Amino acid sequence: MTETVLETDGLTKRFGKLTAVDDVSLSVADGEFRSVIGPNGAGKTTTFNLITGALSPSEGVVRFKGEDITDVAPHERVGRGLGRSFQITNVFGGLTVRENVRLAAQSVHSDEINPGEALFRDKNGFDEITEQTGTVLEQIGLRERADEHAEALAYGDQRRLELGLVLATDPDLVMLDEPTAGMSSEETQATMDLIDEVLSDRSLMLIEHDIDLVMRVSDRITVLTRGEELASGTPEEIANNEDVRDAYLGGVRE
Amino acid sequence: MVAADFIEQLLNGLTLGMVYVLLAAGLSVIFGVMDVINFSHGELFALGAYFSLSIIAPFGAGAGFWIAIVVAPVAVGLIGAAIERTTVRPLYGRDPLYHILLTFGLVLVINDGIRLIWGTQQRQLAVPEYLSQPVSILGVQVSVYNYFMIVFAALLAVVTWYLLNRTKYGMIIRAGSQDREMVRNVGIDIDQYYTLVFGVGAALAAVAGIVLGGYQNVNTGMGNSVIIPAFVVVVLGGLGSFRGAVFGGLLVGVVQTLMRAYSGSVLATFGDTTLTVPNLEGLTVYLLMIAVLLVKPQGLFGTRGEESDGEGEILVGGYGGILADSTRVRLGGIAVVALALAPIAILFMGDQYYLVVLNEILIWAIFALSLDIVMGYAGLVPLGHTMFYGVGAYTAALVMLHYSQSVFVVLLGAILICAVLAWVVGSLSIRVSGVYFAMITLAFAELLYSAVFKFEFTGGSDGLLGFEAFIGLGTVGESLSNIEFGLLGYELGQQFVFYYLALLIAVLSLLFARRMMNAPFGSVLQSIRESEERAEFIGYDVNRYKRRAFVVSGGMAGLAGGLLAVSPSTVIISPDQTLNWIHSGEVIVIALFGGMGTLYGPMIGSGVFFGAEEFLSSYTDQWRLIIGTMFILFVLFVPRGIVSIPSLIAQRLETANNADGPVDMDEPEVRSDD
Repeated sequence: MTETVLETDGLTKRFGKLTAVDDVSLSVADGEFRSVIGPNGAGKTTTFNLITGALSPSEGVVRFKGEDITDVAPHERVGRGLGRSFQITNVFGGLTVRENVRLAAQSVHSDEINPGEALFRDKNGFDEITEQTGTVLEQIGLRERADEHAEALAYGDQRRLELGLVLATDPDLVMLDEPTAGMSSEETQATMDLIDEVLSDRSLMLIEHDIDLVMRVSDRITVLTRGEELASGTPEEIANNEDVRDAYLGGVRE
Repeated sequence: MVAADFIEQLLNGLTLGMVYVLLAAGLSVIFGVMDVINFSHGELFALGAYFSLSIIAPFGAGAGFWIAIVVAPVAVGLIGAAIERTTVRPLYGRDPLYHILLTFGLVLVINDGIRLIWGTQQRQLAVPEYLSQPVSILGVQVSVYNYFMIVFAALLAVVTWYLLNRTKYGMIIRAGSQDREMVRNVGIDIDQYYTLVFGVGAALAAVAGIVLGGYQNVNTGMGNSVIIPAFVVVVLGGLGSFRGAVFGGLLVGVVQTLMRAYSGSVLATFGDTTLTVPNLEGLTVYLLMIAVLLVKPQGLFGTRGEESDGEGEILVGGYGGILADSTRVRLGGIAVVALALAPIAILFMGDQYYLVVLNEILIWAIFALSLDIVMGYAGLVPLGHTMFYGVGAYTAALVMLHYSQSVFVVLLGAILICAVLAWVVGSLSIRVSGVYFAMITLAFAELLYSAVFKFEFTGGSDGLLGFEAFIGLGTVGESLSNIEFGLLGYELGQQFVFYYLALLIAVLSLLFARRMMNAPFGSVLQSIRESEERAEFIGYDVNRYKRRAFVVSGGMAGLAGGLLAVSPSTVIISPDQTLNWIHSGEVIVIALFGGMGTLYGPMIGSGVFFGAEEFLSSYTDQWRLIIGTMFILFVLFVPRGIVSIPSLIAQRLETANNADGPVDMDEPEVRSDD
């Protein structure tokens, strides 16, 4: 399992005179749990957006599973197996839990649906999609609540559904944007357990500023400061890295 | 001589431009600060002129004009402030769509109020004699009044600019238009300023009404005729930008005037080739607006990158938990049977006129249904949907005149042409979102509206006539007007035949749309309405889905327009009957009225709208006033439309029983997804 799933090469993003991301070259191996940390303004979220396609880079290349996806639209990146979750829960509140998951599953199969079917065939009549929906609902533990509206779910269950949406698109790499932001330590633990439970067989890239959390869960960590890559390595290497200590751990620590 | 003539036209253009500046400044700041698209701004403008009429009458032109120009704006400003307090205020935080509906209701109410008080006759606003004299400066001859308008309006613009940029109040208002929450967070009650902004905006509009009234005349259509150009100005300059309003206003005024003066005239001659100004009067400003929106969606001077999207949501209506699906289907079936039997009842009543009304209802039911596909499902609010209705009607009439009278060919032609038009317009418009999408579709509709006046083949302002539909294909069938048969001694005719044709098409359209919404395509549309960003990041090409929805919707609106042309009650297809922006507003009103996002709701809305219009207009001339008031009450208290009333009542009863506290109407208790 040493194949590279995601690679960035000289990724740079400028907003006017500000260089938010400066020449970042990352490489994430297949099956790896990579975290990207750094203080506020380090360029974490911009890097995230460059990889998912929400922003396009000023310079540099993003490669996914060996293919250059720098100019590929966000939705197509999802189609190729690059999933993302949202920091603020972003589910289809007015639709049922089942329909939420079904839509994500349908997206993966949309190539197999011909235009006539897309317009007129009952959306629940596609066996593969229905089956996948059922599996995902089972995995995220929301089968019992499948017919409720997503907005009626408790916060924790909405987070589960959020991950369920990502899971249903069957991604190879999942990008997680501060999934535990604003949570208590118990909630954080529950969320990380859920990620472990549901997504452990995928490659993961976590954007986070909680260092303790990152140290616990990651295979490798990349530290960003002022848009530049400061260091990359295993949690141990990072913990012992002088530069990181000076620039980050030694500074303002939350 | 040529130069003098040109300067004269330029002065005329600046004069008109100054009126637009005054109008647009208010509109733009109101939008910038409150996100309110105020359609009633044009009527407040007219109100200013009418108030002055009444003020000048007892004092005479000399003193009266000066009293009016001070008193009337203050009065209109107070009315504007009152409107903000009582009707606009409860809607903050909702989707801007609800402001459109609300202010559209206000248009009907104020306009009808004007008709009631001052009558419908065109009036002259008396200005002091020394202002109406012609004056010649450097060979350029215009009226003193032109100079007066330019100087006076410029003075007001400078004062407004000063207030906005150099006073504490202005600072707060400008800060509010940047970031409302932030202003609240630093402890300023920004809501208090809204009333002020709305009032001052209304007063500026009133001044514009008075000066233009003195320049031209005062009539009940004056508000309607300036509101769309004023929107063009605001969008061109950049929503919320005062500088943009000034620049845009002068630009539109000058361009409009020069195009009117010089269209078709020879610009220059090079040997054998002559360069003439293209005859684009009326079209230029809309082309300009579309071009600007495509290149720089935020307008020439706009600074807001992203509009405050997602702050409000479009409230869809539905029976939800009140009625089971099967009950609803049964009710639908009963409704169709009742409609199928309705002509028999009408027959016994002996007045076929009711059939004419029913036919109109059916046509508009299809039109409103088509709007629901994009508005209630994909969350797009087009302000120019009548372009498809109108183009459908024109296409149908042209096909009947030149190609085939067969109703099948005619309707198919209308659908296809409109679907293609929708694809083109959609491809260009869907790249911009929210209010900008609404505005760019409005511009396209206005472009087409102006275009049909220009072309010979569309019959200009007279429209098309002399066409007739043939029920059948090839030689098999019968012309609609020849159809007449008796039954039980009653005479039946074309209205009956058309009624059943329209009913059939309406039912099929509903079934088609329902099927589509329960299929993969429709399910994605609903996900886009719920969260566009999320839909994109589970892998859907959001713009492509929107565009397709727009094409389906456009085609269906074309079908409705085609039916209008086929209808035996339709003798002429004219621009105002089909392409006037009012119809775009009406169809949104109807859809909201019935309940968006339900498909059948907008169809019910059509029945209630035209039913009410028919009923009220037989009792009073002021039916618009009543309907407008009804809309306003609906927007405020029943935003999910008629179809949500059963669940609203159930909710109230439940609350009364449980005494669980107040009912929050914005909480989605009812849902559309079946």
